[in-house]
Amino acid sequence: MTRLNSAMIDRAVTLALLGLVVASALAVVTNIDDRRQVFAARQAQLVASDKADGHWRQLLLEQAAQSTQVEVDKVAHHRLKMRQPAPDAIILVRGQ
Amino acid sequence: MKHPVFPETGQLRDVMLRSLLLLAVAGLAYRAFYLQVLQTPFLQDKAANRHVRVVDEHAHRGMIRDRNGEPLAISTAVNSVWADPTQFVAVRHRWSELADLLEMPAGKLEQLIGQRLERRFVYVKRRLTPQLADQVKGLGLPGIYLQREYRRYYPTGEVSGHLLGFTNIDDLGQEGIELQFDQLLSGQPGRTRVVQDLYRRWVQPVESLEPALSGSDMTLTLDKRLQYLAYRELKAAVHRHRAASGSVVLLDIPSGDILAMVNQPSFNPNETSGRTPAKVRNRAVTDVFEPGSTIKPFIIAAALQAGIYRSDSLIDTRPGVLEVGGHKIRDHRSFGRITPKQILQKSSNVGAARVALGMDAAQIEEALRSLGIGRSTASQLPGESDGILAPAHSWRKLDQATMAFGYGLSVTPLQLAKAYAILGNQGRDVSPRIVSQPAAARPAQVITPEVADSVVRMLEAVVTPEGTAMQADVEGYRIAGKTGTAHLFRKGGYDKERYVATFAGLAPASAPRLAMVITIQDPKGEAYYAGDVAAPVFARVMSRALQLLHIPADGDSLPTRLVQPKGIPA
Repeated sequence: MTRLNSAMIDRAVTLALLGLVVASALAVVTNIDDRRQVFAARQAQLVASDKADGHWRQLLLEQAAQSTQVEVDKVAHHRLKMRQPAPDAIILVRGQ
Repeated sequence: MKHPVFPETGQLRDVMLRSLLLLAVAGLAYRAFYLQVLQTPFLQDKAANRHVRVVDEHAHRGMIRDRNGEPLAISTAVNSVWADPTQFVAVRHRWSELADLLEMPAGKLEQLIGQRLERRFVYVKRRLTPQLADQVKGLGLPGIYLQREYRRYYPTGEVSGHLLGFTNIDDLGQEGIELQFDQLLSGQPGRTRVVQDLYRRWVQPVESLEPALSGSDMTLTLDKRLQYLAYRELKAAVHRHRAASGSVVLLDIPSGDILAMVNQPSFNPNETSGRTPAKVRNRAVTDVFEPGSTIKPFIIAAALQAGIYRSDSLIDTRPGVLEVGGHKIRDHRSFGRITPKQILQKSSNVGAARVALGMDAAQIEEALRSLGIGRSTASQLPGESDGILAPAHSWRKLDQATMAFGYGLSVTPLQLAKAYAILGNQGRDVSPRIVSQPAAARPAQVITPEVADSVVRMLEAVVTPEGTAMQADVEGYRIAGKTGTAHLFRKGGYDKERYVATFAGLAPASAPRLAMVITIQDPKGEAYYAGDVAAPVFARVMSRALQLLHIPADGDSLPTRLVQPKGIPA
């Protein structure tokens, strides 16, 4: 009786271990796949951020080119007809 | 049981057949085992070597900005077009499309690729704009590929070329700030394992070994607007007076911030051509010149400080000539008995020499050294010169006298600006700097506040109709400054016909905020006096700078209508 029991227990343990081995093997596979997907997603985000960064830099350059003093002077003088007021046209407002 | 006719034979054949088959299966099994298990690492390696590469990931070089965050240097991605001639040759009839788009002469492409048909990689054109690169891609030509590269742009171009410097093709700093702060600006490239196809295009990244670290951004003390302004006026003046070169330095007195630093001649850092040493040199810190009369205020300050003269002492300059060691020191005319203020106002050489001769040589040397003459300002700009100030024990009597009007010692424009800034800072030391940093601890008191202030008052007299620099006047503001017109020292002696014109000034004089030095070398026009050549540049740049920085007017000479607003308590 006892011998039979212990044999059954042995078998059960073996089966359980076998099950665990299979499960862990499957987990390894899914994990690797997950990792691959996450990494690919990250890489795609990096590419997107890189692209956005490149665009931003282009815009900065464009802004810098449009806002040089030469450009500002040109717009102020020619398009907006602005000019430096003559000294006698200036009224100083003294605070305090 | 019936036996077959040749039972042994049948059995034997059976056994042989089975063993042969078994042997074959065993052989296959072993081969499979050998390849799959024993040789796996080796074979995987081989496969990986064909497709898997570790590639460098680009790290952006840090940006350089001015004090208001305006970009002065930016790295951006650009694309280079390359061709695989073995594929590209198939569409020979469409080559002109590419040539037209890239604005290349028709023969050029033919020559470039037609003669390299056996190659697999030929650059067609490097560093296109992203727009053009997109158009190239849009053509959809087989055998034409884009490669990513990086390029550094300097939006201010030649205006700030000397200061910023530039980088080489490998993105390493070569000059100026780019060189000095290369470590900080350059990033750490990352490494990524990728799978590539036959044409070395990335198919799929596999893993990131090291992430790329971008370089740090830097903020300079420059003000892009003032930088541009100073450059424009300097360039115009150098051109108008047909001068050889020139520099302008503008300092914020309380902080020592370098707000503008420009030179002529200049170069465009966006272009690789035209980078001759003469154009690339940041003359404002590398080149020394004899300051001429701009040194006089410091001699007067030293004499006042030592208690040898007072601001109302009278110095006899008659008869306008002073003989020292067999040489004659001259004024334009005899100014009579004059005060230190009048020495500065009239720029009397005789007066200044008399003051200097009344002091110990060591006293003068000590005073000049404490102002930073003959010593680099430690502004962190590469190639900064120390200037020249010989030790007092080596001076002859004549040296001591001529030093009083700026001969026999040499300064850089930045050093001179620093010395004036100290005068304007109530005698407290000023450390010019190009990178924004928290202010240093309490600066040392170099000159007493009383002496510094009284010399600034004296310098206001220079910028009047009775002084030498009427043209430095700025409407609405009080200006203190000093002209200096020195003969150029050439091989063997002073050139009687050639000059260096300098103006150094402070504004607003009631409580100086800005110090500026303009130096123009070898003007060849009619005018060569500093009051006519350098002082007008000061007035133009300073008037705009004061406005842009919202510095309140302190002038009383032209008090435009003054209004006390209602509702604001007086």
